[in-house]
Amino acid sequence: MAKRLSLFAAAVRLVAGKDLRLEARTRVGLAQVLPFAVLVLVVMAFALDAESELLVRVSPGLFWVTVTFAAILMVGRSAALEIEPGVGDALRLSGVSPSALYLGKTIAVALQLLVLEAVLVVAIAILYRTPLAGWILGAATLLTATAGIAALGTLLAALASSARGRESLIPLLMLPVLAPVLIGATRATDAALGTSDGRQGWPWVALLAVFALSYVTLGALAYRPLMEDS
Amino acid sequence: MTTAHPTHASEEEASDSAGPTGTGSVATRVLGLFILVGGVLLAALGLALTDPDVQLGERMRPIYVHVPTVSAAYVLFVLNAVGSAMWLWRKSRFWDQVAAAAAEVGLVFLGLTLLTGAFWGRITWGVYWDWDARLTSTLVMFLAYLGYVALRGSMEDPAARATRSAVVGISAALLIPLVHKSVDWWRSYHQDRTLFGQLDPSIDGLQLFTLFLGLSLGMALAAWLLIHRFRVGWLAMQAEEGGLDDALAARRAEAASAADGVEVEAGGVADLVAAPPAEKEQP
Amino acid sequence: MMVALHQITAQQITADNPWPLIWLAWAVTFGTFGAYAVALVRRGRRLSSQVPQNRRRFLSSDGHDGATHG
Repeated sequence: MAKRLSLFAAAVRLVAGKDLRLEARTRVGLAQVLPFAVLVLVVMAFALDAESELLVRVSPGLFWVTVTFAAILMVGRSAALEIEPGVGDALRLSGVSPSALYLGKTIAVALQLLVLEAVLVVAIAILYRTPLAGWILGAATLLTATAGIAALGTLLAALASSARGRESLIPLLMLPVLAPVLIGATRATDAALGTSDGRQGWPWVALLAVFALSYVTLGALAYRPLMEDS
Repeated sequence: MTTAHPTHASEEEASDSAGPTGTGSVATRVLGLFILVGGVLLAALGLALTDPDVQLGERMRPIYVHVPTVSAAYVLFVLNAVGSAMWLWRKSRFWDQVAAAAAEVGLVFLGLTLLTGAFWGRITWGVYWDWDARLTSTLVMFLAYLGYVALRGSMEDPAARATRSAVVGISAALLIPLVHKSVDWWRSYHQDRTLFGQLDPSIDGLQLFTLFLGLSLGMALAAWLLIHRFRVGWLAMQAEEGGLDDALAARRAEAASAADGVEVEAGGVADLVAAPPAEKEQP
Repeated sequence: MMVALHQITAQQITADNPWPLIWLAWAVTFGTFGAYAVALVRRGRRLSSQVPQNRRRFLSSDGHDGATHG
């Protein structure tokens, strides 16, 4: 049992390492997704007339919308790696279990998202002059929300990967299901920054954790039939 | 609620002699008749015969169509989740088609819920839309199943389509409690009570009967539409596969007769398909 | 217009004529269901003419469970 578990963990690490290495070599995320995300923050400032007080007040919402947009691009890219000719067969032959493949890809996406979020936090602090506070709650929010976004995104991008118009299908499938994450993460970030009074952030973090857990489980279970029927 | 159901005498005869020629059957025709009669009765009761509500007044009247549509929609979405799970578990194409039909019909019901809700909102609160907890979660679920239907529409391979949409169906069903919980917290932070707590209509006998009539009609109509939509989906699947099989048979026949040195005319293909030549004389 | 909804009580409901929107709500509901039902029936008839007789399962009330493995 313990041996199987460690084999599984090794497979997860292997897949995550593969995706991260591919990213390190191609630099698509670093050279395209990250600048795009910062650009969204800049464009939002244009749209909101660069009004400082307003920008501070809405920065949690803008932050999570930007993260969501970036995540849509990122999971699309992550799924595209697997539908390159021959990759599917190679993966099946490698004997890596579909659940390990899913978890590995999810972890790779989550790690990339966390890096992107770190940059965006700094960008928001500088561009919008949002005072950063509530580090523990903020970090917990970042971790749980990112896990949920990566878990759902990796699953949906994989299943949309062979559909017609997958670029527009991924956001159409993802955004409604991410509604609880967007609401919860924004409220929790609000509470962490102290920009909103009242309700504490921790119930939201719990909701985000339940969301992440639900969709990680669904993804790990659903990846096998998805691979078999593609 | 109005339904059109095929009751032409000519069609009845045709279906007696040559099997079904459409998606109607005796059961759905009887059900359809009940729905038609019930719909007329519901309209008469809901629009005229019931008294105005004590608190809401005439503004109660859209409720008689609004509540049935939302109830039926959620029943259909649960059915979609069941069908999705059954496909993943048993690879049952029957259940895959049930899931597809339930999602589409449910989307129609939920879309109407949103529309009639907006009208109701306009006459009771003065606004078509408010970010009320119920409205928001209804809208999110509508968008989620819109994605499900869009995914089904953009894939050709039946097995891959069934698996992928099944996963989306289950993820949408998983969303129902999560989205309700989140928007509940979200909006209760802004307003201390939900709207329905305040504007609870006090209902008398005939109003209650009308509400129950509406609910049962909504379910009956959901069943009627589900059966027809299922049969349409099943036929579409058969037409696709049949088309492929027929084309293969025609090719085979063509090859066989070409080997015999016989020209196959365009019109002759159908005959060959209907009565495939015995497998003889393989070159 | 974004009044807090919990402040609305029955007395505050405006005296606008609600009937046009009541009629619209019923008409839209009945109309949509009717149109959708007609569209389904017509699609079914068109499709069934394309499907050979032996493939028309589930079209009468005596369907099988249809657990087709594949």
